[in-house]
Amino acid sequence: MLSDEKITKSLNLKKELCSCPLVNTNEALKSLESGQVLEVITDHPPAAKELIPRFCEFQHCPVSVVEDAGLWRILIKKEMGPSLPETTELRLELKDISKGFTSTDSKLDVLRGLNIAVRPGEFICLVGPSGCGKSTLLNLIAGLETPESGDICVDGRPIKGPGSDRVVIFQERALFPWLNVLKNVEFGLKIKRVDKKERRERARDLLRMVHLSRFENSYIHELSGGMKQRVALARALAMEPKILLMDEPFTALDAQTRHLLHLELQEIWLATGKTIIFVTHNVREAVSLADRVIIMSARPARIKKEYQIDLTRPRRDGDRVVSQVTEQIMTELKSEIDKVAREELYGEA
Amino acid sequence: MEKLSKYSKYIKPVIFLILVVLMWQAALKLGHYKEYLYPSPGSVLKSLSEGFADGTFARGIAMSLKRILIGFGFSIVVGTLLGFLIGRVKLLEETVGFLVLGLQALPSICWLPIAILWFGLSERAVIFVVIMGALLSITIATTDGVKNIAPVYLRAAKTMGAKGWRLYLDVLAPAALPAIISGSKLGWSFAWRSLMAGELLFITGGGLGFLLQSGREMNDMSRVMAVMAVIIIIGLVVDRAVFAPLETKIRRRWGLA
Repeated sequence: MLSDEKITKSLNLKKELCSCPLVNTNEALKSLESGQVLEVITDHPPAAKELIPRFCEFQHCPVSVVEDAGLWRILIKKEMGPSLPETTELRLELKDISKGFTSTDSKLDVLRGLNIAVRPGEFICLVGPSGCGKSTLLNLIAGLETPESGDICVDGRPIKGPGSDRVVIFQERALFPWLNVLKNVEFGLKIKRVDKKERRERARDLLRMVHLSRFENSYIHELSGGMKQRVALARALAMEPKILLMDEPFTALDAQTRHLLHLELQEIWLATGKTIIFVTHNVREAVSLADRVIIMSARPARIKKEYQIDLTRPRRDGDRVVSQVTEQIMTELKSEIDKVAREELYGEA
Repeated sequence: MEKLSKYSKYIKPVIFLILVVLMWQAALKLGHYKEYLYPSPGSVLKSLSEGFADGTFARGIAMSLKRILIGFGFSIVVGTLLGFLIGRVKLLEETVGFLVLGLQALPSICWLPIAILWFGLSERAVIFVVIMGALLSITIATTDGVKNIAPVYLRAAKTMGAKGWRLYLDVLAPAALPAIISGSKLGWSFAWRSLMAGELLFITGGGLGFLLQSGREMNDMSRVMAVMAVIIIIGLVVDRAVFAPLETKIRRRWGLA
């Protein structure tokens, strides 16, 4: 049991104040020194009972939860040192990847000599002009396509074809309309031959996490765009992948729904500790989500530049610093977009 | 209100049909038509009730339905399998698929001479003609359906580890279902037409087409028209009451409508 005297910082997460308890807790915890204690007050049962304890366990931080008349008081001790070593292992490594497509009269170089290294738990956004090979890169990591040359390693081992340690979430329409929501989430587990009772339980847990419990018997055509992508997220998480590959998953959504899903995705990212590779052409989206934004050049794609984004979360869309960073990246990207425009409109190489 | 609007779309066609019958009756009254060639609506109705009363029509319907269920059932099973193979195997598409498309141009009743030579004047000959009517259109529709499955379904399934027969059973088959249903609907109408043609030309053995033929032989025009009405109604009811609602429901759920 953690004691009261040593509280260094206090965080008020009453429901009306906070829609993303984990993101806020994580930020508050980051500002503490090792051994200091964070107090979190919340009236949100899932956060108190499930999300925050799970997150703390994941971060190896001791935690205690006390309920008092509908309010929960959570004490978290920041723990650093031997239990949380700075890891040097890479979750994902792309070494000198090249990929091209041959059509009837020409060969198109899409990727040339690409290197990317990703640490476990990192949230990476890939940004680039349209047609630069972002989606191809994601397909390569997923194992749905094979590179012409180069190696892709997950946890140091080269990949062979698709695998459930890397699951893709597509832009839209990838849910199976012939199955209801629950059965969609169970699909991968059924393929893995997880027994019926266990997969039902796991699917229900995940649907609770994406706030869709009430819709488990609905069919896909009865859901809104945002709900569909939350089901897709749950379906991917059911596979318990190490890496989530997201291919412009929120592009078809309206701005309000997209913002909501951004918050939800960050919560899920913190609650599960997944490594996320998120492809988008929306720079602002990249800046509001990622630890690191990687800018790709026009075809044939190389890494043009990387930005470490150390802004506090949750990052608000209208936030001045977010806008500044977005602006800066846009300027960098503009020359690449111009290059694509010149090539497509005037046929210049 | 809901109930009312469901049936209100039938008001206009029903009124129109009543008008047609009245005009038919009026034309007979005004002109001098021979009754044995131009029967009145009343005598057709009488033939209809007599045919049902003495069990002739019931036996004919049972016979025709038995034949079509065998022929059509066989066509659905074989046509779907064949369609899948042609849709997934390039070599089969270029060979068998090409042949299927060519044979589809042949009206199925043209198979009757071959059928009679092969099977004699037997039940099998008429079922063979039904199969040639339905099988090819179901095969072609399934092939199209399989080839037009959204690639994202396959990629999503693969990224979750599906392969081999699981991919066929859990993804390809359900994804192609709307096309298979549409193909079966078309196949049904082809099968029904082929069966009637077959029964008309195929001299023994009952069935509605045979009743039509025997009505002609007895110069019983009102019987002929009564049987025609029964054939129309069965064809329509199966199309409207079985296939159309199924097709609509599936297309909606699959997000195609």
